[in-house]
Amino acid sequence: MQVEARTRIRQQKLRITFFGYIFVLIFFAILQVISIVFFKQGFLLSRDVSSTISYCNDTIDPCIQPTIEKTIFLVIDALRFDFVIPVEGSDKHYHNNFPILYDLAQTNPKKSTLLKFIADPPTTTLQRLKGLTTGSLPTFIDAGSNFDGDEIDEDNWLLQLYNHNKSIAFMGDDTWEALFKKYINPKYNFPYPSLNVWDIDTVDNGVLEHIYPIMEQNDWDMIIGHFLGVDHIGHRYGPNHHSMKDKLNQMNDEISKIIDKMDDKTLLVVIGDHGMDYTGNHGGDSKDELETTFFAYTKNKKFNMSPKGKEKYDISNLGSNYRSVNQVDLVPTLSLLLGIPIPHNNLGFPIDEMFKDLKIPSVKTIEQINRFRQSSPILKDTLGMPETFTIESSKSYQYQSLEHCKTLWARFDMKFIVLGVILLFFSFVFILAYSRSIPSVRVSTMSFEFIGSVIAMSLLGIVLSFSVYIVLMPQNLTLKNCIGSGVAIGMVIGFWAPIMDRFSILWLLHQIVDFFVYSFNTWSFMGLAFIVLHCLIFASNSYVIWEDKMIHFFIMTFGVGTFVSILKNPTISTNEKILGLNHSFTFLFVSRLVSMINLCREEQGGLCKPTFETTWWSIVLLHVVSFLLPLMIKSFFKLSNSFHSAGPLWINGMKFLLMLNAFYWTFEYVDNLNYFQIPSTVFKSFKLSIARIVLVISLILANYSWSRGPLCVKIDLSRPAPPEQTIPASPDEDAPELKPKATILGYGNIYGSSYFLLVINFSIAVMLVSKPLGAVAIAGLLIQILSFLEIIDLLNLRRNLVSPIIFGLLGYQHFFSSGHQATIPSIHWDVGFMTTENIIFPITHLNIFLNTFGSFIIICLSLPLITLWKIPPTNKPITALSQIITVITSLITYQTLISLSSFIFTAHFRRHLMVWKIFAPRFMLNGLLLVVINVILIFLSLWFGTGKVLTQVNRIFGK
Amino acid sequence: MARRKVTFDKVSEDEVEPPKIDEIPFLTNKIMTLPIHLPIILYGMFYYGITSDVQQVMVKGLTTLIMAQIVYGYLIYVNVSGDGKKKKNKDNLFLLLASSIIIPIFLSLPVFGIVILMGAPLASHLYETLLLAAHVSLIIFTPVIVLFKLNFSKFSIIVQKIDLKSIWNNSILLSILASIIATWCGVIPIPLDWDRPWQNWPITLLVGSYLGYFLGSFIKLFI
Repeated sequence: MQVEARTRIRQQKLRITFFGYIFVLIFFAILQVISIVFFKQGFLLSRDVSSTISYCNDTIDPCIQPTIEKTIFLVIDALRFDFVIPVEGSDKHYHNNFPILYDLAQTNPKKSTLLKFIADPPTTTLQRLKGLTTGSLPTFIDAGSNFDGDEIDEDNWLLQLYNHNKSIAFMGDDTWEALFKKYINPKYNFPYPSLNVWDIDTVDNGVLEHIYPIMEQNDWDMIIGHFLGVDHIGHRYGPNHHSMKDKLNQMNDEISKIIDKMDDKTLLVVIGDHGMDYTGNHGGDSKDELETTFFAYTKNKKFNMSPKGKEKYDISNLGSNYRSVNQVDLVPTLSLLLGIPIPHNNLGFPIDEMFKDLKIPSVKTIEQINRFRQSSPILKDTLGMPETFTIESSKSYQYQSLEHCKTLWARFDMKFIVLGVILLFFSFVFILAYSRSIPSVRVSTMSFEFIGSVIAMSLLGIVLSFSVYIVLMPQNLTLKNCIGSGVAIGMVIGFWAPIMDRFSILWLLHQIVDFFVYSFNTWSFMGLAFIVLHCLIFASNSYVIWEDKMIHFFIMTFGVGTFVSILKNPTISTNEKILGLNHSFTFLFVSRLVSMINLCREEQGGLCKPTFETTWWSIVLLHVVSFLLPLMIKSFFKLSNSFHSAGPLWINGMKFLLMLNAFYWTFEYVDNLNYFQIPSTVFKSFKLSIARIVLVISLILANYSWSRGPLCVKIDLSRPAPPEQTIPASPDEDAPELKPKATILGYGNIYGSSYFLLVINFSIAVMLVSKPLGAVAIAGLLIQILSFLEIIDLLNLRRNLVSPIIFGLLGYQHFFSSGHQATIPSIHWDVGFMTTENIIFPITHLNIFLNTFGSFIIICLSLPLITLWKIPPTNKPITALSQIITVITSLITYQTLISLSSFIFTAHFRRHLMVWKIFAPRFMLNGLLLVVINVILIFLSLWFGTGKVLTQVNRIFGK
Repeated sequence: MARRKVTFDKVSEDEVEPPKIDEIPFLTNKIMTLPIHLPIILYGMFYYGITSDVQQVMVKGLTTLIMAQIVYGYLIYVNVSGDGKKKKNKDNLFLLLASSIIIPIFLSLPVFGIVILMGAPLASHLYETLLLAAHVSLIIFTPVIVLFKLNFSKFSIIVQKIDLKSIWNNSILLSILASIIATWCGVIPIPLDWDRPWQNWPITLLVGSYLGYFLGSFIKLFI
């Protein structure tokens, strides 16, 4: 009875300590999220949107007479400029398959014009459509809302047409509908879902189905059609794929058909909204992403274009010297041709070729630009109108104005940036003290003091900041920001109050000095060196570009270090030494192998050869891995004698699911190959069902069964049993000699083997969504983790600083090796459609999340194994728990420091040429990573994983 | 003159003196053994245009290095502590110096493997990497072999219990460690976008290994 009561008390104590930790960490995560949000607000500034609308005043400022009555406006998404011009001797699928535009411009230069069209970054469809209709420069912050396009509230030519009682027909990409629904004639509104990048034909066929019947009607003034096929082929297969040839040919035929059918009054405009890079993606600002196409054609006898000399249209060298115009120039051109006012926010200038006499259009345009500048408080009186109105001076005025706006709208709000950095710094100092300075025994007893003071102080912060807001009414500070900073500062104070209550700063500094004096060895030096070097990476764009190679170098340095250390360690027996060297070599070898899988970022240029492609050998490799990986994991389990009961069940399940995964990608590959002429729908249903089965089993069923507490042990009844592995018989039971002794196989790794099953669950889900080579890299990660755990056990690195750091580095290494880079275009949007055909909120996003952060999810989950791997059941679960907390908070400290460093350097380099290309995406990755790592560590690793495994094992074995 | 064996097992042969197996041999004259040849060869390689023709000049440098390392090995041998004159006569100097060159050349293969593992390019520059491995291997292994006089068991016992302090106290071991660390640091300038010819693989690592070794010996002159 007494024993039972004691056990119960102990379990209760464990539970209380456990939740104490969790709540402290949750509060800490909230503090970090607030600081990241503040920094983001200051850095990713949104542009002031003026909602003034231009109008014509018939007496003072009349609109010019329209020169065209009707317009067909076709957007072919991602139509790069070299797709439409002849490229001699090229056998690429995307060259020479869309000749009609160039041919018409050559044969009939008075009636048609083909120009290179320069997009403004960011080259995402939503931003481009805003730019093409308002004539303004949508900023980066809008890029995030591409998934649910906002309604536009700026002046634009659709609004102007609507106000002039024109009828707009629309068909195609539903981004238009999201932006302009009010202005489109509801009779002729045919939107199609745009983000399903695996669907190549639906949108295009929809457009073609509706455009011809509408053209025959008379009640329209503008037809807008948006084709998505070219873009989707780029995303799905890359530009050089045979379906690109078919698609471009189809576009060619349809454009010529439209030209045949259109009447004399109509102007046809064909444009691309952006280009695509060599992988078929877009979003950045490389030349290939920016260069797209502008084409105009009419049969109107009275309408003549004014082409420039032939030398301006030079198609040699993929048209790099071809005459180009900006995308914003479309807006005044179209407005003036249609006889509507130029939208208020326009920054562009009419395109020369489209006007016989540019004088009146240019006057109208610079008047409008001047009006816009005068109405904006920031731009007012900064740039004088030209004194004499020549076309050249107008052009230079417009150019200066455009450049001025470009620099201005990249302005940053330093107060939020500094606030974010300061808050993050304080969170870093706290977590450093929490993880390393304060003894872990003390930390475990202080949880509730932290919780109490953090809640009290943040409430006080809310009250104070609210009263400050009410009483002082600070300008340029919204209520949300005011309260947010109040809460954050309150939380910082709340975290520090109990620490200051118990310890002094001097004492804490002493602890750090003690660390260097007593527990400092080569390994902790290595860990610290890696942290410092990783932080310094953000000081130079070159190192950010080559971060993948640097991370690999760090990991290999550590690996070679373990190899040498095991080799020269005299305390390890020869057998163990050979085994250890084997683990160390496996770690090194696998690491080198997966480092050969990479996706190059544009800035790496010719020095990087991309290997992350879905080819036949990657499929073969995936099949081999799906067979080998379970075998390897099994052998690791056998090493600690834990391949029992739940072990085989999980490994067999894993084998089955990995096989399904391999089949999924085989179907995908065969489908893309288009070799057997099997209709896509057959594959589609197969693939959807496989993906759903694998994800549901691995994420839901397997985790549910895991939460029931599977153990990898077996009771072995045998007479001669090694004494240290037997449970000592209870004293009241006599005659143990007669009974066979019970040995528990797998006793020595009881926590680790059970916990690793959880890692397997998530790894399977991550491997499914990671594309074939990504899955191979993730398999490598699992092997690396297991060998690393064995090395930790052998070299006794459990409590060393280096272990969590290496886990963090492994996460980064496999972020890169599973086909990612810290750039926007390298996000694998297409995996979102593996389980559903359309965008369904959590599922599509879950896939992309698993794909992008897969390696980090796995390393965060495996982190408690540093403590749990190969330890027998302990009667002091709280000690084990506090060690796990140390490990977890060490990783959080590491990532906080990395994020802090990248925040500071990104803010410092905010005027750097490369800031939007290199530093800003890297800082976004770091901000997201900090949140993801916090969430996964708290909820999955600690709450779900560690909580279950500790209570389960201690319920059975704890006495 | 009868042929003498180079001893592999010191304990069994030496009965007179008590075996000082865990004592690291050290240099008695640090000025004589200053590896001044390393910066000279390095300068020579740059003089002959390593930045424009990496392979040719590295081969040239390697042959020079082999010759110079023989002399350097002899200087170490003459100035190493531990044995009296009588003992020294028993050593086979020719075999010792020959193996101090030949063994590192064979060991350059494992070094090559490590360099590849650490992330050297696999698809190209293999010959340059191999040459780098040969240079590094000669720089770091030749002095060790001469220092321990091919006594592997002594070497392995010392290695098992070595710590940073005893490395710091020994000029040659410190130079070797400095050379390895400097070679490691040699990768740092490569990613910078300065587009300088000396950023080519593996020039910076080569410079690191040469200068690291030299500086390691140089600072021991003063400390």
